[in-house]
Formats: sequence, structure tokens, C-alpha cells
Amino acid sequence: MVAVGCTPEVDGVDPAGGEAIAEGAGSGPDLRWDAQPLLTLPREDVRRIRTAFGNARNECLSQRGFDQLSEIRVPDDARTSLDYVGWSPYTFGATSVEEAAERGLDPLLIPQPTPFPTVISSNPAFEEAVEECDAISWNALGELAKETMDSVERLGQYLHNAFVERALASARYLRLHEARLSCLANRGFRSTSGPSVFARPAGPWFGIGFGEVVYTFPGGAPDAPAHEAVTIAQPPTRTYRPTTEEVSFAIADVECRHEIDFDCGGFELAIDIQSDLLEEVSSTIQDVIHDLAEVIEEAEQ
Amino acid sequence: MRYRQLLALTLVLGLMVVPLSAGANHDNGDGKEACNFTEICLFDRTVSERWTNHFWYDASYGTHYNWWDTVDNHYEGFVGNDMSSARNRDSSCDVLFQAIGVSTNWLVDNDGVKRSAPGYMDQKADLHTRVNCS
Repeated sequence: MVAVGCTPEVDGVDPAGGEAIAEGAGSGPDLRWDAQPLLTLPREDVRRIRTAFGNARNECLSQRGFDQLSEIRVPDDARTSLDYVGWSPYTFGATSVEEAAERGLDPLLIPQPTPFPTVISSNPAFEEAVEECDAISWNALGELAKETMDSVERLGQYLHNAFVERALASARYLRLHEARLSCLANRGFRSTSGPSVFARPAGPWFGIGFGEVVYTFPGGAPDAPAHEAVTIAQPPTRTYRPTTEEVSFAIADVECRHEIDFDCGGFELAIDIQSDLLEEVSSTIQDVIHDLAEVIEEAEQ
Repeated sequence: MRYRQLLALTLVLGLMVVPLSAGANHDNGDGKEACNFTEICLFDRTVSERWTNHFWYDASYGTHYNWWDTVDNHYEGFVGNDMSSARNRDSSCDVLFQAIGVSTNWLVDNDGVKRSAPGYMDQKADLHTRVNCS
């Protein structure tokens, strides 16, 4: 069990017990979110296998006369599904008053990977080729490659959602949540709808209208592909424009969270719950890691 | 469900085509009613495909995206916090739906199979992101 000095003592007893996990653990982005047990899941192995699959698939498609997927280079910072397990400094909302002032309650606070284009198609031959090449490429990586990848990714999502479910249902979180709501209410913001427990507040739950999401295509919006065409569509840029009321609320929430050390409490809780969870499924994880290593070995021969 | 009629569109050969005209900066995929290959298709309901919207990219829905009613041919209701099933036909990426409020995730493989959103995502999705791209 770990404590980072932000869990309030109950009846003089530190409920978390144990030693400090890190010095200087504070709030929001200062917390060592990268120390979450769920982040020990094999993200890099998944990425490597995806890359190997993608290369094989693109080669297969090129041989069939379709170069479009080869033309799109998936950026190095492109995300795997395992990059979305666990919590982050942004899970509860903006990380600072400045950020709250600029972004309000933007649901996409977390830094986004480099946008990259997508292939769009109205060509049945391309569809068929992709289906064939997908199967061929997974097989080339080994009999169990696709199945193993699917297992790892499903496991990651299962563990994430199980963690979240336990966390938001816990007495510890409820205490933090009530303190947050109480603080917000003192500042004139009362929840009128939505779930009784949340990680990040949505404006509408507090009677505040949603901000504006703006997508623009610098080079013009892509055309739907002409008859039996395969084209590359450039991604839009995204801007979020919070309302004034939303900004006031977001700032109040940041200040409340600082006041009650909410983020640190959430962080501690995350570490504890994830540790327990991973221990419960440790043999499954060992199996999965073993299978994944075998797939990589065979794939990179 | 809030109803908001944005456009009156002409029915052409039984297919709806939503023009990506100047000022319309929302992603509707290829603008056709059918869920075509390379699109990410969202549905209001679990079984019925009557109300739908399609995407080529990542999207956060907010009040920016509405369902297209394929029967009455108008926009109606918000996609945000309302999706109950999805079909990912993207050619190279899986799609991750997120309910930001309760921090749950739902990963949908790009196998083109239509799937119902599980309870922790049903009518809760705020956005989707293309992940596991190859």
C-alpha cells in the first residue's frame, strides 16, 4: 500500500498506511501518473506487432495495386488502445486555472497525437483486397498472432473499466466526490442531472450549455470518393470554444480540487485499486505477456 | 431527446447525400445512408439503424453532431451521450469510444461487425478516437 501524503487521516489512522511512493507528490500533473500499475501492460509490444502487421498488409495491398495505406505513415505518437488505460492528470478536468480558462470543460483535454489522414473508398475491389490482405498478414505473423493481440487489447480494456468501476464505487472516492460537490455548491454550482458519481463533470449536468466544437479542413473538406475510387482524406483541425459560464465552472472546479487535494486522493486510489486488480489477474497477464513475446519472436524473424 | 431540424434535403435515388458545403464543417463520412467500407458508423439504437451518423475521423460529439433519420430524412437529436451501437469499417484502425464523465472506454475492432455498446458506454459516449492504427 502506498501513501503520498494527501489521504486524509480518519480517526488518527492513515487509511493508506505504508511508505510514500514518491517525494514531492502534489496535485494534478505533479503526481506520478506514469506509476500506475495498469501502465505496465505491454504497450510497446502491441505497437511492435501492429507495425509488423501494417508493413505486411501494406506490401500485400501494393502487390494488388493499392498503395494508399502505404502512403499514409502512421505517426510515431499514434496511440494504441493500451495508451488509454488508467487515469491521467486530465481525468478529473483541467490541470490549472489557466487551462480551465482556455479550455473550459473540453472533453478532449488530454494532449492529442499527431492527426494523420485516413483512406476512404467506394471501390469494392479495394475492400476485398483489404480483407484478404488482413487475413494473409495476420497469418504471416503466426497462427496465434491476431488472437493474442485481441486478447491483450481486450484485457487492457477490461482491466481499465473494472478499475474505474471499483474506483468510482469506493467509499474513498465518494468522500472526495462529496467534498468536491460541496465546494462547487458553495460557489453556486449545483448538479441537476447526470450520474451521481463522476470523474469529470459535464456542463449540462450542472445546467451549463456545452461549448462549441469546431472542425475545419485547411485544404477544404474531402470529397466523397467518386465511383470505385480509393482516396486519402486529410484530417481536420479541431478547436473547442467554451462558453463564459463554462469557464467559470471549470475554474471553480480546479480551485475546489486543489482545495480538497482531490487529484492526489484520486491518484492514490488508482494506485491501490490497480495494484489489487493486477494481482487478481496476475497469472492471466503472465500468460498474455508470454504469448505476446512469442508472437514478436516469430513476427520479427 | 432534443429535436432540431437543421436541413431539409432532397431525396435522390433513395440515397441521402449530405453535401459538405462551405460552413458545414461536420464529418458525415461519404454522406450516404449505407454504412460503407472505410466509415465509422454510429447508431442511436441497438438494433434499428434508422438514426445514424458516419465518420471518417476522430470526433468529439458535443452538440455538434446530430443523428440523421434515414426514414424522415432530417437531423434529429444529438449523437453525444446517445449512441447505442456502432460498426467500425475503418480500413486500418480500431475505434475507442470514451465516456469522459465516468472515464470508461469501449474498444471496437475494425472488423466491420456491428456491436451493441455495453452498459458502461450505452448512451454515454462523448467521443471516439482511432487507435491501434497499422
